[in-house]
Amino acid sequence: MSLEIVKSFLNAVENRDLIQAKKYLSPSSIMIFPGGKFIKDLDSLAEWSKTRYKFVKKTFSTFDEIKEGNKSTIYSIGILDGIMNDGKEIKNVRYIDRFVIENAKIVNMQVWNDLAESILVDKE
Amino acid sequence: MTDIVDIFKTIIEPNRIKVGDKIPIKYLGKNKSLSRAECLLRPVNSEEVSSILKVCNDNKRIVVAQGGMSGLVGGGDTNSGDIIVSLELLNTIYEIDPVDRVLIAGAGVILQHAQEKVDEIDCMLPVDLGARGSATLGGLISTNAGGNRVIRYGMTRYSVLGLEAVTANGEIISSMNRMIKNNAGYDLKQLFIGSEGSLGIITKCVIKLYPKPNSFSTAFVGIDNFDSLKEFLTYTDKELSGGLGAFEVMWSDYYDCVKSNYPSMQMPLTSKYKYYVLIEMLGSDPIKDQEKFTDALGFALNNKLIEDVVIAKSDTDRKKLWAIREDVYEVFKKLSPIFTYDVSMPIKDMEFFADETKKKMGSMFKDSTTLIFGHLGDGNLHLVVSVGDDHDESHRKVNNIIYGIISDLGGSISAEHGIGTEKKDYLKMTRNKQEIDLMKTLKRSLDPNSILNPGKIFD
Ligand SMILES: Cc1cc2nc3c(=O)[nH]c(=O)nc-3n(C[C@H](O)[C@H](O)[C@H](O)COP(=O)(O)OP(=O)(O)OC[C@H]3O[C@@H](n4cnc5c(N)ncnc54)[C@H](O)[C@@H]3O)c2cc1C
Repeated sequence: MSLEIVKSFLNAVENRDLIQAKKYLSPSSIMIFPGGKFIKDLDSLAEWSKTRYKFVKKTFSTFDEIKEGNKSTIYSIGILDGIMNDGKEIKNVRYIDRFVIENAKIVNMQVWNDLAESILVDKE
Repeated sequence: MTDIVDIFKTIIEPNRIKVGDKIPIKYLGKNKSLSRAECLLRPVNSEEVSSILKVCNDNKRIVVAQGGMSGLVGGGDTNSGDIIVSLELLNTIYEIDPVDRVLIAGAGVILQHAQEKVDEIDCMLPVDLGARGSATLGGLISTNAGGNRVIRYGMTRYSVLGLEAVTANGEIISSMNRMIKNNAGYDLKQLFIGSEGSLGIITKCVIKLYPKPNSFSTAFVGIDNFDSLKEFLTYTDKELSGGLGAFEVMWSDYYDCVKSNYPSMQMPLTSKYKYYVLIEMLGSDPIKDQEKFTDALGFALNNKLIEDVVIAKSDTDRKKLWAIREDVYEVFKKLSPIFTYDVSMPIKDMEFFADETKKKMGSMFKDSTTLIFGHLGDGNLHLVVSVGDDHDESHRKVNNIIYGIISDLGGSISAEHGIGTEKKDYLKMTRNKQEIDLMKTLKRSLDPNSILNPGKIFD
């Protein structure tokens, strides 16, 4: 059930269907992105993303679920591909998303990836 | 007549005495261009300090105690003929007791050195401030310094359990209590804490230690209005259940000025907010604390107390965030000449104070910059003001604007830096006549010849 919520949420975000994606988020959800950046809602996420990349696509590799009472924590692991705003290609960059689901809603989402590192390597 | 320096040579080794032109410039304080003190003495123990003061008292010679000379109000400044007693060689750490949690040290121990030693036994000195690399324990105590952690641990006074001081007539008063509870009679150490070297010279101290926090959760926050800022402080203070370790606020002018003058400084947020807060939680469980911290920030963001937030993900990030608040010497240098202020007032009045100050500065000076930042949680703001020159006339005008507003609000003209020479003309705006009279009575009774740092705090 929780896993389905996460997959549906990720698909909706990828399809830029923010109305659908919002349905999976609790009104008090917390989203923290690389750089320790808090994003308060999906509209802000869309705005913030625009400042970083033209598009990005996730290829899901595994989903791990840990259940604790009525709380479920799901890790989505995979790779990112896409194009940065400066035209640089994003290829095979690792990511981990962590979701906490309570009462069938995502209450906490944290995102980590190696984008900064891959950019540094490009600069070397 | 025997030269007084010859007498000093019988008390301390001659190589620890410097006379006239030989006194290095760092001991001369802010008025270094005006005059040199007669001599600099660097005693190594309390007995030497005692003998020096006896001689000075008998000869009615003015003594200025000095620590690391990082004070900001001219308390260590000298005039010609003064005798400087630098405590820098009283730099022994006698004991660090992890069970009683106390540090016993000489007054000349540098704060950072003490911090590092205490850290080795997993304890923490509660006092911390930007001048940690030069300020001494004696200097911190004699100015009752504040700093970055007052919101959690209080001013220096709160962590001094005991001390040893030498009075003007050379008497060594040892009040080296190491117990938290001791109500046997007057708490004499309080006389020497915050009295800026005017009632005695501190030679040793006993400082209370705290367990070292294992976790530091730090974030930088953007806020749009003052009501939200106040609410955010109240909310985090409660929600982090006593873990709030710092709540440093920067008005937008400060943030923008750092950004434009310091291109290498990494700024975490866009420049569109009215206030920026560096918030830090200290705790003992890195994982649980971080969760609690992010939950609190998430709640604040979702409930519009704050507009934007970035959390530090590593110690390097944490240092970068603190640099925006602490490592801004270069920015102030670009603005110089500057006048600096350290004031306190009820938090509810701060918005009015800031707006009113900027308004009055704008109408008094054609071109001025006023940067406001500080330890908001402690009711303490710092101001850096630049009006293009440092003429006395300009300084007086700016003082009158700022201290005038502070006086109307019932605030203090010195929240943590002391009075020294720089603020003594304005002491009466903060202290009433009876208070100042009692200070003078104390001074007369402990130092009847007025040899200890006269002309500082009051005339
Ligand atoms: C970058 C920077 C940041 C700072 N930040 C803060 C801050 O956040 N909060 C804050 O409160 N202050 C701050 N300060 C100022 C702070 O008051 C001093 O750094 C410190 O308290 C003074 O210690 P010191 O050893 O340098 O004393 P000094 O500057 O040498 O002396 C200060 C006063 O104490 C007297 N004195 C010194 N040693 C003794 C002694 N052993 N016995 C009796 N009297 C003595 C002197 O006569 C003088 O009046 C800052 C200063 C700097 C430069």
